[in-house]
Amino acid sequence: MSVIAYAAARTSFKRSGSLLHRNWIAMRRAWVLIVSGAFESLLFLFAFGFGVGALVGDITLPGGETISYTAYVAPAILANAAMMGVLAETSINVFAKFKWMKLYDGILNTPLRPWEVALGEVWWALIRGGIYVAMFVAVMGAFGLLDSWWAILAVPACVFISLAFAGIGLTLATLFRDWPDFDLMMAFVFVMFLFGGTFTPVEAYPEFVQPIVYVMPLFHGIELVRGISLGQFGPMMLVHVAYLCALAIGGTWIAQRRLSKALYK
Amino acid sequence: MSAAASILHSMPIRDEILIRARDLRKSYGEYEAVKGVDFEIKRGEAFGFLGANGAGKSTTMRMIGCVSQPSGGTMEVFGLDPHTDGPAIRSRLGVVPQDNTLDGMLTVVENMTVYAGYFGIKRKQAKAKAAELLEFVQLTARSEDQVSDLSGGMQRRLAIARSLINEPDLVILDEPTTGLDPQARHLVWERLFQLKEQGTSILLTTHYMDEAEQLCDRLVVMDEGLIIASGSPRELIDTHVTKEVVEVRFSGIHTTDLHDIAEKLEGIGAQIEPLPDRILVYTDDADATAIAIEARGIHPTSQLARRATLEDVFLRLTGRALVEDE
Amino acid sequence: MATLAETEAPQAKAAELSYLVGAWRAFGLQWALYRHIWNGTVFTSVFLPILYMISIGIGVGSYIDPGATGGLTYAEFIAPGLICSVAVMMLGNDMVYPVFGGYHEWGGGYLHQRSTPLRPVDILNGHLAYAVIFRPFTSCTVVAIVLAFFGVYTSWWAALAVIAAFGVSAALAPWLHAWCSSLKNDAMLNSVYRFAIMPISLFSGVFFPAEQMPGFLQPLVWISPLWHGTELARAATAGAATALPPVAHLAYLVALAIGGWFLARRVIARRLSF
Repeated sequence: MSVIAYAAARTSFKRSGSLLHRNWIAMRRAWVLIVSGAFESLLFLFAFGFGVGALVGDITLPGGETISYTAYVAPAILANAAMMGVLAETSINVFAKFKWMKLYDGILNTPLRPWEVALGEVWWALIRGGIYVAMFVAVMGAFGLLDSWWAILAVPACVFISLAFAGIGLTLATLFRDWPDFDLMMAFVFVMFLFGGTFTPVEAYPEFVQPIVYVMPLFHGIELVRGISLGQFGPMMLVHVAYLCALAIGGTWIAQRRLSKALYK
Repeated sequence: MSAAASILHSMPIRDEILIRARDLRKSYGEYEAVKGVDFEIKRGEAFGFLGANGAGKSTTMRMIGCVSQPSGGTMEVFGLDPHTDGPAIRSRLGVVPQDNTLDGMLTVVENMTVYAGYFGIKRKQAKAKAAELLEFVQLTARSEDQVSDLSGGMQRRLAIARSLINEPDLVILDEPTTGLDPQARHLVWERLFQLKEQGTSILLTTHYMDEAEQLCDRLVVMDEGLIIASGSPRELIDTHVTKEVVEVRFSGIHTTDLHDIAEKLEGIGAQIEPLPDRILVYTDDADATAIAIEARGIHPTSQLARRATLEDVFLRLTGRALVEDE
Repeated sequence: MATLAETEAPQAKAAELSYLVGAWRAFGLQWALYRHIWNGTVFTSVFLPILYMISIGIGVGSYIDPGATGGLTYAEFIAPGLICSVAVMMLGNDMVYPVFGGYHEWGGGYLHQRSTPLRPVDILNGHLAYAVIFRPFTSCTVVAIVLAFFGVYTSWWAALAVIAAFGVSAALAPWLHAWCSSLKNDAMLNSVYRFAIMPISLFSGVFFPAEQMPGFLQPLVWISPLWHGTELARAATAGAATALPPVAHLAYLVALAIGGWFLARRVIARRLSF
C-alpha cells in the first residue's frame, strides 16, 4: 500500500515539476522582473527602515529591551515581502493563466491533474519567493541588521510564510471574477502591512484593535521572523508556527479542491 | 419635373468617386506590403478586396482610413488628401476593424454614445441614434450589458452599428465575418446587405470567396501586394474560369500520381488543374465532361459537378503558388 | 434620414477642431470608463493615504521627536506629502496599464478613437486631461479634506496643497505616457511601478527629509517632481520653508510638464501611424 502511495506521490511530484518547467521557460525571458522583484521590498526597507528609522532612533520593546528602529522594522518588511511575492504569483498570475491565457485547459489535456497543477504553481511561487527572501536577507546582513548566524533561519521561516499564503492565493485565484476583486485583495494586504505589527508594537495599538491584529496571518509571520532575526525565541513562536501550518495545510487543500472543480467544468 | 430629369440630376451623384488610388504603395522597411495598386470606388457601390492573409488588404484599408501614410503613389478620399485631411476624411468614414476594438469595460450602449462623442455628436442625438442602430443590428435587448459578455457575432454587429453612428459616406469593414460561426456570419451578411440596399457605400476586405460573391458589386483580387484582377464577381468568373467545374477525386491517390492522371485528361474541358487531393476540370458542359472522362477509361472514386465560383478564380490566378508547394 | 449637423460640412468642422475640443471629445471615453471603475479606486485614492496617516503618521510618529522634522509633528510633516503622493499613485492607475492597453485590441481605446476624426494629439490630451486634471482635483481634494480632521494644517493656505499635487501630476504624467506608449511587452509594465512609481513615492521627502539620504542619491531627489511638489505643499499646509524659492520648484514642474508633453505627443503620433 505504502509503496503505491509513494509511487503515486512520486509521479505527482514529477508531473508538477513539468509545470514548473513551463513557468521557468516562460519567465526566462523576463528574468529581470524576477530578480528585481526583491527590489520593491528593499525600497520599503530603505525608506522605512533607514529613512524613517533615522528619525525614530531607538525603540523600546514591550519586553523592555531597546533596539534600533531599523532592526525592528526590517524583519517585518521581510515577512511582508515573502507574503507579497507568493500572493502575486499564485493569485494574479494563476488567475491570468486560468482566465485569459486558458493555459490550464491545454495542460489538462495531458496526464496532469488539477492537484498537480496546483502543486506546480506552489513550487514555482516558493522558488520565486525564496529568491526574493534570500536577496533581502543578504542585504540585511550587509547593513548589519542580523545579530547572529541564527538569523539565517529567517530564510526558511519566510519560505514557510510563503507556503502559508500560497494556498490562500490559489484559492483566491479561483474565486476572482475580474480585476476589481484583485484590488480588494490588495486592500486587505495593505491593511495587514500597515496594521499587522510592521511599524509599531501591537501593544501600542488601542486595546480594541489588538484582537483583530492577532487574527491577521501576516502578524504571525512578522512575529516569527522578527523573533528569529532578533534572537528572541519564546513559547509564542510555537503559536505562530502552528497558526501558519494550519493556514498552509487548509489553504492548499481548499485550493486544490476548488481548482479541480473549476477546471473539470 | 419629369422622371428623366430627376434621373439625370442624380447621375453625377451615383458616379461620384469616393476613393481614387493611383500606384499606391506602402513599405515597412525592406518589406513591401502594397506594391502599387490602382482602384476607384464609387458612391453607392459595395467594393471588395479579396485576397489571402498577408496580401496587403488591411494595409490598403489603413491607408484609406488615414492612419497609415502611403510610401508612394497618390490617393484621394472624398476628394481630400489623406495626409493633410485625415480628421476630415475620418469624420465621413465608418470603420469596422478586424479586431472590433470595442471597449470591454463599457456597456453596449456606452460604446455607441462614447464613440458618437468623438464626432462631436450631441448627447441627446447620440442616444437616439444609438438606440436606432442597436435596433438595426438586433442588440436592443443587450443595450445595458457589458461588451465582454457578448458573443463574437454580437460584438461584430455592435462594431458595425458603432461605425454607422456618424452616418458615414463610406463604411469600411476589415474581414467582417472572420472567426464567426455560420449562423453569425449570415446575420452579419444580412445586415450588410440591408445597408447596401439603403444606398450606403461599403468597402470590405475578405478572404472568403462566398462573402465577396454575396456582398460585392465590384471587387479586386489582391495577391502579394498587387491587384491581379478586378471586376464584378460574374465578370471575374467569366473572364478567368469556365461556367462549370468538375471535381474529380481518387481515393488513395495523391499529388504526383494525380499529375499523371491529369496528363491523361488533357484535352477534356477548357483547363485541367491538379490539386494535392483532387483534380479540377474547368468546362462549359459538366455532363459532357463526365462522360468524356469515363470514355478515357479513367474511373474516379467521385465526381462532383458544380458552378464555378470566385474560389476557382482565385485558384486559377494564384495557382502557381499551389504548384510550387509540391 | 435625419442628418447630423457635423456630417453636413465635415471638411470645415474637422479642420477647425481645436485642441480643446479634441481633448474634450477624447476625454469622453475616460469619463465613461471612470463611471465603471471609480469604486475600485477609492481604496488607493482615499483610504490608503488615510491608513498611512494613521499607521505611520500617528503610530510611528509617536516615537519621533518633532526636532527631527524641522519642528513639525511627524503627522504635520507627512500630510502634504501624502496629498501629493495620491497624485502619483493615481498616475500608477491611469497612466500605466490604460495607456499600454490603449494600443492593443484588448483595451483598444486609442485604436478605436483613431478611426474617428480625433488626431493622436487629441487622444493624448483627452487621457491627460483625465489623469492630470480630473483625478488630482477629485482624489487629492478628498484626501486633503479628510486629513484636515487630523489637525495637521496650520492655515487655510493648506488648500493650495491640492494645486501642488496637480503640479506633480502634470509634470510626471506625460513622461509615464511616453514610456508606457513605447513598451512592446506587458511584462515590462511592472518595471514602471518598480523603477518609477515606487521609488518616487518613497524617496521624495514624503516620509523623511530628503536631505537625510546619502549625497550621491541627492540628484535623484532633485529630479523627482514629487519632491518639488511636496516642498510646495508643505509650505502651504505647515508654513514650512521650501528647499528652493517656491518659484524655482514651480518652474521645474512646469518645465517638466511641457517637455514631457512634447515627447508624449511624438510617441503617440508614431505609435498610431501604421
